[in-house]
Amino acid sequence: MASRVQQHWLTFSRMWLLCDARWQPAPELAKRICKYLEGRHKPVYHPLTDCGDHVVVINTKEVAFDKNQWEKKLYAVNTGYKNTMIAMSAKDFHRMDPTKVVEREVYSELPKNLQRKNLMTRLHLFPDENIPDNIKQNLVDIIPPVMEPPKRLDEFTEEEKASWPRFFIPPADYKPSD
Amino acid sequence: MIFLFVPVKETKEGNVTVIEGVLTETDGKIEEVDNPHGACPICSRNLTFTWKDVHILSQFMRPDGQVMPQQVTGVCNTQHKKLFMAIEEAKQAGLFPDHKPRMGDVTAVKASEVPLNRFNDYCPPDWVVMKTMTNVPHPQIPYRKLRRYTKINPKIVRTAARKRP
Repeated sequence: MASRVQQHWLTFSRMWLLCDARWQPAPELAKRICKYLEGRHKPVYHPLTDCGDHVVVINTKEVAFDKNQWEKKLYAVNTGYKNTMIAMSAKDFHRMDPTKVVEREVYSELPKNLQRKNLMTRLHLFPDENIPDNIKQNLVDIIPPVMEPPKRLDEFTEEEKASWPRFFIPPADYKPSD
Repeated sequence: MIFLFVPVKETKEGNVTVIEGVLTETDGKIEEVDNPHGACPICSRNLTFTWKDVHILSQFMRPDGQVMPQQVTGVCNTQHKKLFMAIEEAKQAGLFPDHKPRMGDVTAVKASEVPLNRFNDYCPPDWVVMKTMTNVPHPQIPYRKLRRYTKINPKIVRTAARKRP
């Protein structure tokens, strides 16, 4: 036998991975999730093998877009009949169901074949940090984030603000409110 | 080092209101560097900043939300332009929630025009075009189709989008 990979019990076992979608760009997050859903991070990968993992995504309510994509991007649905194409902006789509944007981005990023709907059943989306216990006990590893989430100014304490070095002194007569 | 600031103080005594500016002394640390050629405070320290660096940007901002003028800060032209872009990107991302224009001014924006309760936006570091800040409709869709798209029946979308095994 050339390799002893097939002799091991756990080569094709499914792992459960956690992914935090807070302040992550949605299209780039979807590319990263698809890599783990298909199992492309494994050396055993082949498109005909079914070696993908489960991915649990939390905080999908706080996913991010760039520029004006919340207003500009449209998610369309065609029922097949004439003049029945319906489109909704990403803002309305997200307001309807906060897990729907990530699901739609991942669905469009996966390869377009018969295996796509089976892979989507291994994607578990939650708007908050609350996960049911039967899923939480399976979790093994964490997917690294795409972008470091920024921090707002009011989230810093006043001790941290006082410790920041200053670069210039405004003159005493300067009135910044005008 | 002594850092001076002029807050406006209002006192009411019956029908009389007194508005006065009071000089207060607060502690501010300044990193002193060798600056023989008189470069600007950013160039002399070889600083690089993005829209995420709130601790740098907040020093060059007014409480209004605008950039301080160059006569006050002493920043050169190229760095002043970068500061302006980075602050606009950070404000769109909602990193400065307390820096708002005063309500009731002529120059201030109305409360209805300010987009409150936005979702998370972010700006990539290579973002240069300022025109995209405004909410422009989708350019690829002609006006006739856009009228048709805007008629949305949420019941149909809900049933069609959830068609999954």
